[in-house]
Amino acid sequence: MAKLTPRMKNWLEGLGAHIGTATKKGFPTTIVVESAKVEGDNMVKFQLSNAQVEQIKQNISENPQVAIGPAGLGCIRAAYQFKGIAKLEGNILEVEVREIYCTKPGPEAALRLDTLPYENIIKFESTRWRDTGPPK
Amino acid sequence: MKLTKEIIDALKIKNPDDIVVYLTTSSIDGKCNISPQLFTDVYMDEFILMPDLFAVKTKINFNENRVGVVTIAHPAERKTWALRGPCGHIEWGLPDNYDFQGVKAGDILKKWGDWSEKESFPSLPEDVRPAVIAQRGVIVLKVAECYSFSAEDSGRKVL
Amino acid sequence: MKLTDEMKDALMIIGAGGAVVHLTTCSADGKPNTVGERFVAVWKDEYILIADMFAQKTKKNLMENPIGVITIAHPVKGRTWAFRGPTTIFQEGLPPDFEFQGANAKDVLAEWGNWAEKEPPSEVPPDIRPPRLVQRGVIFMKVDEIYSYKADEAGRKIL
Repeated sequence: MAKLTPRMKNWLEGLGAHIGTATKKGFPTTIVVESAKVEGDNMVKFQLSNAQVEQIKQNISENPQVAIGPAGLGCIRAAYQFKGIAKLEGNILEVEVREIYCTKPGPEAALRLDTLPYENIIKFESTRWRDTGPPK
Repeated sequence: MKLTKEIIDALKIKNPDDIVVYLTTSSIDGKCNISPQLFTDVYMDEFILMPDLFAVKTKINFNENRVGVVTIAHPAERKTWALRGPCGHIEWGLPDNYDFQGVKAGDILKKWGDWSEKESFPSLPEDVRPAVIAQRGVIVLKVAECYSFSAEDSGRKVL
Repeated sequence: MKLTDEMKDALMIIGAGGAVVHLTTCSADGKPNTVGERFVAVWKDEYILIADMFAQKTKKNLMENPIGVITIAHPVKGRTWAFRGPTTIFQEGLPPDFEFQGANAKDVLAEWGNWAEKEPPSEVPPDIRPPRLVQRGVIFMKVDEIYSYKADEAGRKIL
């Protein structure tokens, strides 16, 4: 099971995310949410506006698979992609993260992280990034 | 669809890392992939171009489902645009007259096939700079629609 | 595990178009991918190298499930061997001390990072020669076991 690190949590909670959704036939719609709340090992919750709910509710009901990239400066500094299964509870989009990938440009782009032992993910992060979250 | 001057100015080549976008693609059965792109340019006012440097799943998706969404990731202030449309990759080796959505492979590769000639990769910060540039081609998105991703009017048609 | 001289000769054919093998990898949830590869070499008697030129699903799979099988595709000449073992992709930009299965990425890339220079594909017929060699790295397998794929003894352990 995927387990987010504190650094991943800090970036997602600090700057939010671009969230890719799609119809079950693969027609994509991306929304952008400015903050998030990470609960437990792998649950990420996003507070959506009514407009955002309207925009993706059909996609989520027919195809709950979503992809998440950290927003703002996180797109380069927090080079992760999270994939998971989403459901809408009112205006809250709940995503159970099942896969985590590195998206840092270079040899480790597309490297899957959640299949590594957790301590190796922490080591991987600490040898590549100096921060533990977005700048205050 | 022709883009506005404001959108074109944001996406055209200026300096590396000046704007970063996300490219969302999807497999044919709806599994999305969202990938940061550090380099963008605009062609004929309606095509967004990105070098294919490290695309993995993006290209796997293009092989079965040629559509994409570009969203401005950083800096996004007052640039809350999501640009969606047919999207594919033009790789080295395609015949010059290969056509994707009205653009020819030869024209694209001649001008953008060696992106490093147009934009200085070494000026990127060291920790996000690719060690070796091995460009395989150019990702092309023909903008068919543009919607807002700002929270209050997310999905509103901009163009 | 050391490969025999016969195996090394079969895998690493200098000139004459080289050897062709199939490389099978698999996603973490078990979806296999088998793809023909032609730039093949042997390193230190126990590793098999393939140039990463166009890997897409292979790369995706190795990024989440680093194991592979290499089978001799052409010329076979009775050499019905399948090589299996831990497999990864070495690319420029990895940390200098990056190791995989006892091999240092830097050493391997120093020798095989520019395949076109070391082994120009001049013997490969033009109709199947890649149009532009853009090498991104080296697919790297440590051979752990070798079995036969010959129909009447498939799976028999050879080494």
